[in-house]
Amino acid sequence: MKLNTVKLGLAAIAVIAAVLTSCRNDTPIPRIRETGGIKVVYPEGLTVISVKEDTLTFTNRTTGVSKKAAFGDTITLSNGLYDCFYNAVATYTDKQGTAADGEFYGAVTSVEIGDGAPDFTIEAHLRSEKGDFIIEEIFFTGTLYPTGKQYYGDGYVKIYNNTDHVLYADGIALVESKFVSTIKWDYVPDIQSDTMTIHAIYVVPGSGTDHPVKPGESFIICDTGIDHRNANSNSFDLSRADFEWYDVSNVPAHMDIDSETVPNLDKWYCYTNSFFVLHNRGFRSYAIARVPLPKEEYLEKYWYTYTYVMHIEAGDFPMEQEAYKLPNSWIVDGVNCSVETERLWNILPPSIDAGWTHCGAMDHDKTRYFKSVRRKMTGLTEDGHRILQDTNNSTDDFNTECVPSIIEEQGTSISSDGTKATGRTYDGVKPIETDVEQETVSQ
Amino acid sequence: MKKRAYAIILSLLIAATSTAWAGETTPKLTVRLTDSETGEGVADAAIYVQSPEGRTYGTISDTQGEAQIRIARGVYKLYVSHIQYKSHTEEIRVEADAGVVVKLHSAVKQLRDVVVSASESRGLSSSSHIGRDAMEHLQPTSLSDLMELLPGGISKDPSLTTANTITLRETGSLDAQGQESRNADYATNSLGTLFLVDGSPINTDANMQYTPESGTNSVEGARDITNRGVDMRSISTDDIESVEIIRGIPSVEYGNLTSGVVNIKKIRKPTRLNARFKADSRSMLFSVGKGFSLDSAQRHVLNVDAGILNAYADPRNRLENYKRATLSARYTMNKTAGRVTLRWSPALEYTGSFDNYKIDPDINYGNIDTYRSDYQRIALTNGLSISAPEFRFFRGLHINASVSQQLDRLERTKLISPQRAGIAPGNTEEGEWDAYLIFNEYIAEYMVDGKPFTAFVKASADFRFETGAVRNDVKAGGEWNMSKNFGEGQIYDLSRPLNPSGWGTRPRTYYSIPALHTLSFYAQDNITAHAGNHTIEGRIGLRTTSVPGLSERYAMHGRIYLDPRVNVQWTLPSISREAAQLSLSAGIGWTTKMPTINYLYPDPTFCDIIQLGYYSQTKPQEYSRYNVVSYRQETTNYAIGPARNRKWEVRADLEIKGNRLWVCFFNEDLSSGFRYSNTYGTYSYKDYDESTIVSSALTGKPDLGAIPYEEKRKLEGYRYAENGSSQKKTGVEFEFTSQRIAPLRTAVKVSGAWFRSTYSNSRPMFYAMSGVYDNIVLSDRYVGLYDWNDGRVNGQFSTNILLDTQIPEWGLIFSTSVQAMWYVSTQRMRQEERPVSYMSYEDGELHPYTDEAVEANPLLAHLIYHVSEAAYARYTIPPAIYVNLKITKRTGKFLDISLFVNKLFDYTPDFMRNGVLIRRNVSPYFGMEMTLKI
Repeated sequence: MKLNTVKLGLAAIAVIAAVLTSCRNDTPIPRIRETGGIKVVYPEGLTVISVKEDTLTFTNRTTGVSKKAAFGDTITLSNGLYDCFYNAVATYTDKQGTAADGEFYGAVTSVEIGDGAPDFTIEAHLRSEKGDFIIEEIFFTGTLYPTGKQYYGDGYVKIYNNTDHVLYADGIALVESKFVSTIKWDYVPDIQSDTMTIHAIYVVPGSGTDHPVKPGESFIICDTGIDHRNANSNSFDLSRADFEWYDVSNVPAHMDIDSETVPNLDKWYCYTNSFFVLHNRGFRSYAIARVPLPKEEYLEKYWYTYTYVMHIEAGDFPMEQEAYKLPNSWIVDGVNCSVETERLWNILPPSIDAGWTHCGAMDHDKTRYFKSVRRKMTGLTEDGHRILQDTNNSTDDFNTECVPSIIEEQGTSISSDGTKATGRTYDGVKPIETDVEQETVSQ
Repeated sequence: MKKRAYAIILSLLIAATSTAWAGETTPKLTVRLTDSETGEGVADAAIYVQSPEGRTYGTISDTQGEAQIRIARGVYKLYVSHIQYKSHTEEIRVEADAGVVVKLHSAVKQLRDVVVSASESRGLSSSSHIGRDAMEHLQPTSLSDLMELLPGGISKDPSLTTANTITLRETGSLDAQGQESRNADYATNSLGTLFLVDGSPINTDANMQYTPESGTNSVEGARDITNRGVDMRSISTDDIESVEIIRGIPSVEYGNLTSGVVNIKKIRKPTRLNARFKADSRSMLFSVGKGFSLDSAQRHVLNVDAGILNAYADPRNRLENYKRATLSARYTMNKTAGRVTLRWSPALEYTGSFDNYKIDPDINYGNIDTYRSDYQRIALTNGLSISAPEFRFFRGLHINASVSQQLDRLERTKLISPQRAGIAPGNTEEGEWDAYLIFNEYIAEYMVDGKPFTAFVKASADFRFETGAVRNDVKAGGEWNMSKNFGEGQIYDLSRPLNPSGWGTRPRTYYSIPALHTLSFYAQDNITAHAGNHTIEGRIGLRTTSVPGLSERYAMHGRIYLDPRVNVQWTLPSISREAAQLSLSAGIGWTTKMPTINYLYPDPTFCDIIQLGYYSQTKPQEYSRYNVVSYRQETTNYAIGPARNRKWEVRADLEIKGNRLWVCFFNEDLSSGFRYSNTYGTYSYKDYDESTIVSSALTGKPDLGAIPYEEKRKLEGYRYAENGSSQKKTGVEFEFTSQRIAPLRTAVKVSGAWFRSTYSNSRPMFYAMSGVYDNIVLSDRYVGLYDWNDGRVNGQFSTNILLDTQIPEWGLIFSTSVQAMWYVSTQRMRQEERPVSYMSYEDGELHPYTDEAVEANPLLAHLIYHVSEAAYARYTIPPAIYVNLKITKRTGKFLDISLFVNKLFDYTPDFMRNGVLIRRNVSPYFGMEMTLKI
């Protein structure tokens, strides 16, 4: 094995010195930070004012050996294929000019380190400051029977620990907005900027530490936690999901199935007399929240009445409706969904989600089935955990119309004709490269 | 030609002296008009006698075809004029009371003055007469197309893939945007319109071709005619001589109806061979018919007709279609023995009516969805009529009898995709049962086999006697109707239901449902009095209706319902020189429609509650268990009564120089219309605790005995038939017909109607408010009973200007109609937001809804039903005007070619409604036809 030295020369150190000087003059550092042939690009819209500390970590894909060095330092690596990770603690200002400290990270996978100087670019991202769960994936569209008819019951929401420490799912509430993004009236009182109006809230049970989720892991909340292939050969197995929402019903016409292997979420409230399904055309917004109140207190205090005037051809109908509300400050993460042709507004405000994501381009889009929205991966940590992008803008943060992760894992159908999913991805787009691993095995 | 014009002008001149009281010594001239072919009296003919000095006396023949005039002794010229007959002139000598019988020859064969529209009767009750010529010019596909000829009628594109039921003098149900909607709650008036074919009714009381989906906006919903009366699509017009639609108060001879009578008379005379071929953008029709004269005197006539129709909802989609086949053989014998005329008229009729719907599985992943509904009716009808017009007291006896057998079959096949796993009922009886688990999609097959059989006998005798100046024509008779469904009923596999939520019903045989009999007797006196040249005609009658054989449990058992009906008409003497004749009529009457078999013996409802729901993850097919308790809820309403309608109308009819104007104001009040209403009951069930099941210990389905449970109760709703619908109809109908304007060869007819129809419930209604509060489904516990009007008030005003140009020498009839719907409006009725009482799940009883009750139980506060103020706003659709064109051209001796274009031009401006622009798109509808007459 031949050794190669990556030299991060004097020029790079000079750059850092320049940054330190310019900091005093309040001159932001350039968006692109470079050492040797390695370039780091900071997120657009953010201005990095000063970098307190940043490192590059090289992980050999064949041997798994990692080496870490401060940005600009010299590091010696053997020739080979590497994943390279960038981590930084920096002070930045956002679009509004507010300054904050944050952690930036970025990664490139499968970089060839050879005899020549390295030449690649790492896109750096701001790590979410909340340090709590994020919604990784929402599968609201459902699957189709082999006959092309719609199947309900296999919808799910995947929630991810994007932090570097263990999080507890206990008390995480899954909520669906009452409003749809395709109809907008002037709701009075207008509480949208700081409160979400919801019509379904299901909460993960537990004392607070019953359901630990390790960094880089996720848990699945699903509609019905059974092996759906018993009913629809095109669906998949949810019997190992973490939680399900179950609606007690003794009416045979619309009964829900209570899975014996998947614990039920605690149903705080749901609008429907029958069973709850995610809006399968994707008009509603979803959020996870931690409600700092006991159920009874919440249900008592957060019921509100709103009015609006429904302006239709038949007349102006003053409407009065009742719903639960959820302060945005309790929301851990939220995602707006809609379809291009029908969309009128974002239900969640920019502080939660500045964008919106979708499956299908229009109402009743026949192509939307078997597809989910999945959060983009921006890189892997040294431990091999995915780092998912969370800029509070689902337009950027999510890959749309992806093969759902569970379908990928189980290799089940991706269309009504039974075509099976092949290949796996980190986030619906970036493939998990298994060829290298196979090489390792062969060695 | 000149002679004819003379006759017409004369016929319009009424003598100035007619006002003088003729006195005891003035002889009475009785003129009796009969149809030369049928021997029946000719009503509504203008009769004039003119003295050599030029004095003219006139009158109009009554429904029996008779007229009386008192005139001084002398020699007169008698003129008889009727639009459907050749004019008749003869010289008469009057010395004492005398009678003249005039046989009128039909003018149909003449190429002149064809009546291309409906003509309004001059009789006691308002009715429209639609003759063969009008039908030929209109080019109908089915009887429903003729409805545009009624006052207020407007042409509609034929909709042959949906049931066509009749609406007389009403707007019909409208939705909030003023569009027509099918509402089973307000079908009593279409159910209550009597359809007669040559005197025998089309009885629909035993029709039960529905599926659990029929109440919804579905394939079967659009074609369902259960409790809706006659589907007019199935009636071909090609063998019809005339249709009389009685809109006003019918004679007591007609019963078991609420609204009106459609009296169809088939062609019963020798005709040439008629072959008609019609095509329009959605249908093709072919019919052939001939009337054979079996002897030279035309006393024995056999009419044979056959027709087929093939129609599509959309010409691009061949998979949704409607087919009709009709066959008819009618024998008519007229025999005169002395002063008695005998007419025997048996007939054998077949109607096949076939609805088909399917989606193409080749382009829908093999998705199976088909609907097929066959209606086949074979009817044997018989008419025997003895007329003795010259007898002193007894004047005639009419007997009608018929039997009909329908072979109805509805087949529905549908691919059902249960959500998650579904469960289906496993029982047909009450009790605790395990439900079937349904995995995967399945093909549901649902079949309804109906074999309604009906029998009918009616006998009616006519008498006449005179008391002083008053003539009494008495009619008395009786009628018996029976209907019974011998069908196998609803046949389906319970474990493969048509709708996974279709739990409420279980298969039911129809042959086990008792027959329905109705028995009626009636008597009426038609009084005609002449006072000078005033004529006062009155008709007073009473009809009894009862339902013999009905179980004692029914309130209707043994009851006799009375329909009194009175009509009066006063015809004023002609005003001299102006040739004007005015008559005023008024009438009031009650009509009664008995409930149908379905309303009397409705399907029981099953109330099913899941007690245990255990889904096994390891062996879902083997170990899962769903236990259901089922209650068989009887839904028969023994208190049900007939639907009764009160009708009254006043009418003025003025004729000046051959121009006629009539106006009629009517009012109908039906508050006991049939509908299915919701009601609730409380049911107990065991709520098993599934969490105690240890799945790893299971060796089979979990044992119920080992699972603890809690007894619970809940409310469940079901539907029952009751007299809970109110249908109020008010309106004004009018028509002006001009004399033909000679230079233009054009006659103008302006007709129209204003209708105001109110559809509402007439009894308090249960309404289940939806809502889940703290995981409690509100309607499982409490439902409110609201004393409100859950209905709409609809209005419309329409006019129809018909310009009919006839150029006989070219064989051309050309009609243009400008049809305007000036507005259509609809308005929701005010609703009381607060229930009067509420039902509780605890005891199933009604409790008064008071503030104290709400305070004690805050859940009850959610029973307040909020209606937005704007919902009460009136929705009005601005004018829509269409121009329709119809042309009939006779080419040579044998061929007629006709053509129609409806909505050739239209004025349907876009309109703003609350700031929303509403566009109306209209596309013309056209077709043409060829009739070969050999």
